[in-house]
Amino acid sequence: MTSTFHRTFRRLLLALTALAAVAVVAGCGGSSVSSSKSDAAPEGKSGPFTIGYDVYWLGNSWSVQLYQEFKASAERNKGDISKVVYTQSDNQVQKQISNVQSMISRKVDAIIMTPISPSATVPVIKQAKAAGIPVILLSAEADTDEYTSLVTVDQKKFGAAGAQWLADKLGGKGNIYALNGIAGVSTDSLRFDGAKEVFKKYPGIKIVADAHASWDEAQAKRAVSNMLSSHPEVDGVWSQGGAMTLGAIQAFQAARKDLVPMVGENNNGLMKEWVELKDQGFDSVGVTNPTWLADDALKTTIKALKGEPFEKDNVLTPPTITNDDLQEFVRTDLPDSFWVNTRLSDAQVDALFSK
Amino acid sequence: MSAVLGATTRANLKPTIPIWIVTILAVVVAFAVSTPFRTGTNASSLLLGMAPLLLVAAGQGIVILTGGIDLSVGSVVSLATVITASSLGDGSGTLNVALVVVAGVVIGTANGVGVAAGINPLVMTLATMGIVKGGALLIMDSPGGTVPASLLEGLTWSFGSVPLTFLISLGVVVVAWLLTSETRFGHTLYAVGHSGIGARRAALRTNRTLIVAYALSGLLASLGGLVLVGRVFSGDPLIGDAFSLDSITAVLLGGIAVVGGRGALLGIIPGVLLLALVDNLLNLAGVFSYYQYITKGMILIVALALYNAAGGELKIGGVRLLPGRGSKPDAGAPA
Repeated sequence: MTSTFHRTFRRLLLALTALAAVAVVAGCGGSSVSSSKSDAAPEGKSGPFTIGYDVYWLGNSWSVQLYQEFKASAERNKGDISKVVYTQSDNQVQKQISNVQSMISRKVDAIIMTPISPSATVPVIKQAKAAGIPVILLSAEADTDEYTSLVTVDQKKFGAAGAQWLADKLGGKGNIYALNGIAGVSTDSLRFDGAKEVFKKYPGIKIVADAHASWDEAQAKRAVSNMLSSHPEVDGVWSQGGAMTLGAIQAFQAARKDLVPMVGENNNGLMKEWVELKDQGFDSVGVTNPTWLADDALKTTIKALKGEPFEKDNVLTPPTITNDDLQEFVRTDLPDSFWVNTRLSDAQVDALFSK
Repeated sequence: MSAVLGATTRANLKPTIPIWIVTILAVVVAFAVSTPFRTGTNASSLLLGMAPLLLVAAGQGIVILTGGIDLSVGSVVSLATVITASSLGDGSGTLNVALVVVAGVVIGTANGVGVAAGINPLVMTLATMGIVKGGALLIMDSPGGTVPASLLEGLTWSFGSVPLTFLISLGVVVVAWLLTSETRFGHTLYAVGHSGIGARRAALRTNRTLIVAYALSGLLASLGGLVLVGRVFSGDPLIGDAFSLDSITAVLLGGIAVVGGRGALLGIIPGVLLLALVDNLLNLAGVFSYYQYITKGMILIVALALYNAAGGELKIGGVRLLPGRGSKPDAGAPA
């Protein structure tokens, strides 16, 4: 009895195994054949082109909108594009390397990527170049000059712009809190370095407390609440992310403290709050890391493929939103997760963000 | 099967046959069907990606055989990359490698001593995970650094599309498998995993075995970090985070029982290969990575169900329907 059962199970096991193998492989192999287009177009050819786009992350509203701006741009430029190969790296550099290598294996005509680590992505950028595939870096740099083009804002200037605004606002004197993103991420250290360089010029400004709040509203609220109890004398907040600025406002309100000038970003949530608190004397600045860089990156890519002139290093000084032009940007009808200053059409914005 | 290997070794290998078959079939069919899969770029990408996980999973497998778990391996991988990419000594890289080895052994030994002293492995390695992560961030607070040129040359050496580090990692897994299945240390390891109390009553040197197991895990994790540098050419204080869970997944896929005492380290090879293949094939097919997580999760569940069926431990509502080979009267978790 037992042994019959046993044998049946063994057979079942074998059958399932074979089935699983066939299913897995058939599923993957089938679609990869249909999508492998290998007429490699060196620079200066006419389209349409196969573009590889690695989505570096979809873990926050900014990265999602960057991806949406790219998709919208691909739609606008569809005359030049036969296909976009998307991969997603989930903010893991190892995954990004594999993803980009898979694009090289699939012989796409160009690769657009946002390096998760400036150093670790160097080998794969060189590998793509060796394979004759142009690489366009979007919104983050890499420690090599073997890329085709770089489209980004200067993250140091991003940090410096907010710091300069705050220093001017405070007349070069006062105690401030600093809110950083994630330790170990290059954007984080670049922005803070930029800010520190500015503050160094103002000996009267002291960073009395700082914290890494992961660019996250709730974590910033908690951190600032703690700071308010340990360092209650505060004149301003430098934050390298708009969601954290929102968290800081909430912490001040919860502690019933008068609001101080706080550096912000171009996130709609902060814009809305800012409009509301303006009358209470609150002031901020929306330092902008525009999501429409994705559009610029795709345009540059197509130029590069067609052999048209383009700029190799396109490093923007981050635009800022101030009290004067706040009303032009704020969208009180849209949710907090929207990033103002977009190239998405009204219809696309409505489709993505209307509640 | 040759008589060179002991009977237990052979018995432990048997349940891994299906995963070998699945994996080999997957490779063959992918090779036949997918054009991009056949490219040299893809082959070296796949193999270079596997090398660090093979090493880390081998260490994790040794620890899981004792019925424990090592959550600190991810942080150790990160620390190793950071040390490798730091400017040290005469710039030849010898000091970097020495420090990587020492760091791995020291952290692993600390884990082992803690576990032998009675601290739950989950708690102990969770604590060292945090400590090591902080240490790595202190050494290098963002990705970067420079790897000594001569060291990098060795780490990226490749025979055609087959990286040297992949071959070495494969060799290490085989050696680790022989060590755990054919030596006295290995027998004690399985005994500890099977029943910690039993092993102690039998006057086996359980504490020493535990310490060596965790030390090996630390060492292999730090070597995994060293090998990883051959892929990323730099140090990164957060790069290893995914390795903790990936190594556990690979070990379980390879047929090593999570309660310890059962399975063969050789199963890690198809386990790692299958994980890498899923990512690789879904990538080449242009499937979004969220589906890769789902697919890997499902493969793990199916695989464990099959292992259980193969072991004959089919229980429904606590009633054992089949007695099975691997079952024992009281399969309590080891101390």
